Amino acid sequence: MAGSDLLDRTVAAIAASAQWFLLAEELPDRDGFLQAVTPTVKLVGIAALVALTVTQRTLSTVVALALLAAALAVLSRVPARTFLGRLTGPPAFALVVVAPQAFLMGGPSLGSLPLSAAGVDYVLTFVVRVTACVGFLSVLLVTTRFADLLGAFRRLRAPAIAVSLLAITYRYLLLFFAELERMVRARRSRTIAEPSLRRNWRDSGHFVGSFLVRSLERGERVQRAARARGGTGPTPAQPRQPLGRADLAFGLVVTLAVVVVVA
Amino acid sequence: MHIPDGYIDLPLALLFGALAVVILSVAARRVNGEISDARAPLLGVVAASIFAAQMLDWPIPGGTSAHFVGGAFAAILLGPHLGALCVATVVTIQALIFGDGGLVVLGANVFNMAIVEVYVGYAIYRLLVPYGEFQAAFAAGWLGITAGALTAALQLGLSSAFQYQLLTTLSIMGVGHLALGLIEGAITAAVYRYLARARPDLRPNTAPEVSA
Repeated sequence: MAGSDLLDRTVAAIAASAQWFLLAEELPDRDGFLQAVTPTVKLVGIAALVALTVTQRTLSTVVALALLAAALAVLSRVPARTFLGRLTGPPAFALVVVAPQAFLMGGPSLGSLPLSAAGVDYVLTFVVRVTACVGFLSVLLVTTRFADLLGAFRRLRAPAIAVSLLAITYRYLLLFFAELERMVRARRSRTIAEPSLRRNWRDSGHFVGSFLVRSLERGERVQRAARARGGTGPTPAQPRQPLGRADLAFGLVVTLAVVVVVA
Repeated sequence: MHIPDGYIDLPLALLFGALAVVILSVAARRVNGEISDARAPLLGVVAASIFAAQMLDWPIPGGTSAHFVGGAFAAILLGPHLGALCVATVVTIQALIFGDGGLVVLGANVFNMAIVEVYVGYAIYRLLVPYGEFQAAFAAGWLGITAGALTAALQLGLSSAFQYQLLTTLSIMGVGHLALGLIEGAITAAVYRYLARARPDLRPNTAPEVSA
């Protein structure tokens, strides 16, 4: 593979990641069902739904839970392309990983095919279960601003230092994506002849090393500035809000799902 | 190596999540008693830079490419405790923004990538550094990521949700990462070589933790 192709792919990967950020800040502002739910309630409710899904071993149940995730996405006005885009990767990988079980599992075969009926059921259940879990996680992430998610962690008494670290990392990610993209473009513009593999690795080592040194020096400056101010202080979060109708409705959905599945 | 939700049993996910919390709490206490408010920015910024550095494609013979993971490298650069906290932040951000891994299984992923990979990588580096620091950095990257993969294989093999036997998961992931880990080792050594020349003061022999 040509070195310049790799650099182009790196730029594309950075741009795609930055796009996730913009989406993550845009969709939570839409007028939808989950957007109206308090982040703490939403985080706990989605975690409960994922935990419930993880414990299920029957196809019909995991299909119902996957449909619930899709319904939440529709009610929250998540664009189908965004939702399906997040939903395709992990289930496709899961299918590749567990597909051999359709042949390996014992028991009666599926008609005249060399497939085990139990194996096919296991593969389908596994893949749909992963799909449902990814679906629940996706609706949480695309309907909640990261700052609100951090606020929810704080209200759930997560250690303040862990929340601060996440907040600072998030704050600097876009900046570093932009810096890395600039550096990659500069390197691309300097690449006249295709370098040998050995040269390419040496250059990449210098490149990442140089990027990390710049980042570290920036971190040291930010640390000194924070120390001069007396610390970073707690991550700001919106004050506690009283539970609204959307919270009660979502709580009811989660409770119903748990009761119906467990009963 | 990110395990998504649905692969491992809930009790196992909770057990490894609890282990991760305990070990990271001890790590936070071991770093000068407690990470101060003023020190958090350095860690957060380094975590963001490691995350960004993972985006760069590295050429592999045969026409494909690989990515830097950076667990062992973070341990060498920052020391094991700060390294573990830094990589735990990266893994959490990956889950909570990009959906890499899962929600219930987040603790297990942090255990594999931020604890096993970082501490094993650092131990190997310290063990081998008298024989040559670049070789030690290479082995730390290589075996650190392999150890993390073996822990993930253990979790998968012990789960009733994942039908493959423990021996199967351990051998497939172990052998696979022993091969893939060579690339991580080579990247770790290449980046380490640059840093050792550009900022020799950052080498762990000069200070146990990064000072600013």
